[in-house]
Amino acid sequence: MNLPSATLRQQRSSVLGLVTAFVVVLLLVQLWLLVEAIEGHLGGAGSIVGPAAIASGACFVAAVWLWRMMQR
Amino acid sequence: MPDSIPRWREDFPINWEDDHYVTRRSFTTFLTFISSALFLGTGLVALREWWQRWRPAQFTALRIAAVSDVTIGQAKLFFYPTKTDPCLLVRVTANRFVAYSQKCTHLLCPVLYQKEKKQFHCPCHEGYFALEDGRPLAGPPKRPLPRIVLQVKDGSVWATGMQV
Repeated sequence: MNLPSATLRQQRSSVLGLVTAFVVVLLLVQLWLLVEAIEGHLGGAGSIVGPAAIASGACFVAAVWLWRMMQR
Repeated sequence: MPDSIPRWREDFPINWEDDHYVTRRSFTTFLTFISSALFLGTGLVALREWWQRWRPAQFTALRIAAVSDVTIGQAKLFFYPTKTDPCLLVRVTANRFVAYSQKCTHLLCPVLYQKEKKQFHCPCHEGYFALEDGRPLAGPPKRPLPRIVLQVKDGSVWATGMQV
């Protein structure tokens, strides 16, 4: 079944909006991780810094993957 | 027949609105750059943490005051480990001294010792810290005051290290 081009454009537009929103959520998570890492480092609870850095890296990889998906 | 394009448009052919239009793709590219910066920041904090664990800071001993110079309940200001690090020494009892960094762990305002309430008070945002261990009691501070390691010998109080 061939969808009209207008419908396809609308679907694609919705997907692009969702991807952008998801990247914003990833950024908020990374910001929270950075704040917690700094608080832990300054407060002597350094054990949280390593996992926070790894989690932030995973969010960054996810953001890059989504960005590449949008570029196609 | 008049020209449809005004002369100034020929001299300045850039459409301002089109030039400033931000597509979702370019906005997401910008967000990805922000993501990389946040990841870089978290990574730098992790590197700093591991560096400090690998090469712990070395503290030199510093004579703060003679025991007889500080009365019970009195607070004395001193600088340790550098001249830009103000600290407070408090004589709790005849045989017990405590000392903490004077910088509030919220936004680095100098804290004041309240003798009657036996606590430290930060006037900037109404933060309070306990005398016994420097832990935050109220207000926006979430981390305890860094504690100065003390040693009493030969009638003098010495600062020998710092605990976060």
